Amino acid sequence: MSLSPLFQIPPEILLDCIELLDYKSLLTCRQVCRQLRNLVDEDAACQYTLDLYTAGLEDGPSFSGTLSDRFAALNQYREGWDQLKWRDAQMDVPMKQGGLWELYGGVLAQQTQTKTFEFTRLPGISRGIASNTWSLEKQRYKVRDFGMDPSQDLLVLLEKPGLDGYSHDWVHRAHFLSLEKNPGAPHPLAKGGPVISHAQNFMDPEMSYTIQVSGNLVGILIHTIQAGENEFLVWDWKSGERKLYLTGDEIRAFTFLSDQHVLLCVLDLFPVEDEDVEPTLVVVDIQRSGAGEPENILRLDECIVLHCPPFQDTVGIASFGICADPSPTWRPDEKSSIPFHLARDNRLYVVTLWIQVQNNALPLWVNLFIPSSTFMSVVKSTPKDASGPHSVSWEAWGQEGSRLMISDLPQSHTWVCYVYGTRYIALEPHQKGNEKVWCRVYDFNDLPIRRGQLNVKPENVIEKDSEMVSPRVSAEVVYQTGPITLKSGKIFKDDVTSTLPFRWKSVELDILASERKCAIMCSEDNIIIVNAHTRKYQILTF
Amino acid sequence: MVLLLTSDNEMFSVAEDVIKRSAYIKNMLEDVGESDLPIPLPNVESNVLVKILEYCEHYRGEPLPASDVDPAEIGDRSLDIADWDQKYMAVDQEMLFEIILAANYLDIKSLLDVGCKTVAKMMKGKSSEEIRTLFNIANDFTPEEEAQIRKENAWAECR
Repeated sequence: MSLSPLFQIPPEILLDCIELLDYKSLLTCRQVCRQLRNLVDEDAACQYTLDLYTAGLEDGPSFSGTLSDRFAALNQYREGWDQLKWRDAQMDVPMKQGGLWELYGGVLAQQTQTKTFEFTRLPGISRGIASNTWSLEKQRYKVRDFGMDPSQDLLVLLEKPGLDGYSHDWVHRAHFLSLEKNPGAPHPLAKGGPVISHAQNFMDPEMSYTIQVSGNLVGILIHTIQAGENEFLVWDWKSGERKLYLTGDEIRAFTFLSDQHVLLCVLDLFPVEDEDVEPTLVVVDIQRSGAGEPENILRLDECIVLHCPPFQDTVGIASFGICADPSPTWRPDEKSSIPFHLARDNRLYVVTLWIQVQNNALPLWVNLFIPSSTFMSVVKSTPKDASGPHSVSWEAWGQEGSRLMISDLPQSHTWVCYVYGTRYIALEPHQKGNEKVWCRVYDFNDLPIRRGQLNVKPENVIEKDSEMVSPRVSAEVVYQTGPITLKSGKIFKDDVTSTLPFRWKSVELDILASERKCAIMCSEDNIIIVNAHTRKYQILTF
Repeated sequence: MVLLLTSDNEMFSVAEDVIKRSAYIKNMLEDVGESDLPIPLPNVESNVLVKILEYCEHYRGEPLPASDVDPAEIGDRSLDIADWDQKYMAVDQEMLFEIILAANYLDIKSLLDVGCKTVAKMMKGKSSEEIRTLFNIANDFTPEEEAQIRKENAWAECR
């Protein structure tokens, strides 16, 4: 047999070729022949590609260091988060009292009492990110809410509507401004103009908002209280073009799933029986839905309806929300010199239902942890020409593709940035006053464990008698691979099983339980303790 | 003009600013200075040199890459290839590897990069059997070894 042309070029050039491959092709190369396998196994750059993938990360856009710089940063970052050993806990950010705050893309933004905005870029030691602070002066209009995307240098300010507002009308105005480069100036990429307007034909002074940016898209959910219905709108903020307009009080929350799909938390849509309380997750394809006239969510033709396990009639649902961070299309900006960042589509969606069970005064949190791959595989397998909503039962999507947990871990309604990438953070309950507070981090990326890079204590709970997963502290990394079945009873109508593997670990924080009133959040490089006692954000940096 | 003599004894007369894209020849011209003697290229056949010169001609006038890049630094890891380069690389496999070898020998970094990307793109997304067929590679694993590698790769099998 004649020699392959691949092996007629010098080995270092063959390596130059192979080093360009992604993890999947590298693993395939290992299966081709001995020579290729040995090249991949013995080459540091190939191993780096595999390690980066394992950690759920991808290369930064303009890092200029050497391979060993990259390895050092990756190992530091990975070990820090795996073992929950932050490298610095010296930074505090004073809490402002302007009423508005946001944490996104590693930037903490706060409104002050004098209605200016203060921004803090949180540091990252392993990834070499320097802290920075800047501010934005008070706007001529009242800011009702805001959103941002530091990687696009974008700040979205929502002007307070109403007769007492700057414009004396009931028109919503979203202002698209430069965040950091030229704070407050119209954003140069907002070609359709720096302001998008949305008129409403009713007045409700108690309206509240959810604003999210995902690439070219900005989504705004208007929650109404007194009059009218909730409205959900998506625009292309660069062109100013409206992409989606849905209405209905059933829409409780939203987040972006891809550059084309949004995910809505919809309560009481398509009940199986009239008295059932049935929360659903609805996937809407922005490109296939009309953007002209408002469409009621209950009459939407083309959508995918993912059913959650049915609750007992006696269960009351106080809130229904969803959290995922950063947006699925998020990228650091092109000039960013970070060595790596969270990989595309590597997102965990945390759906939270705050429920009240009758005869039980304490509210409980039902958390549903869903990786984006679960949603995307449902989207892919849904027939494109289907007419009417496409309904998917919990058993079909949730049993394998998610993890459902009920807990009394005190999850905050205010400090909601408790998920980043595949990580979720929460405080452990039940500490006594003179004890330190503990927190726990779940990570739904189990590749490091599957690859044997991380030592863990395996846990395989086959069946639980109780309905609750009782929380307990573990300083070791626990790997939960077994299915958990929550028996039918006070909460659910049927037994509910979910199987998605995850790992978790707890860590002690330097806060006494007596001074609690604190909440916890996370970003790509930080754990943020919101300490209402000292009125500070305590920043732990990895 | 610079004279180049290929391995099959063909003489090429090339403008200096065209062939200077080859760092090998550029350095030689700087070291030797003006000379009427042809530069022998014992590793390059005439049909390959024609193809190489097509590349150098196309990029004539474009700035040459800096020579002080730290070799340990990792450059562009994307598989994006410019349109013209893609068309240029649309050759049979034998010629592709000849171009890569010549680009390596003549030290034309941008061309070598495009060659490597082209090879990587050919491999990407293919199965191991498809890669074997594509590059005429014999499977030299025993069934036990194959099973072992499948086991080692199992961590990345998607859920």
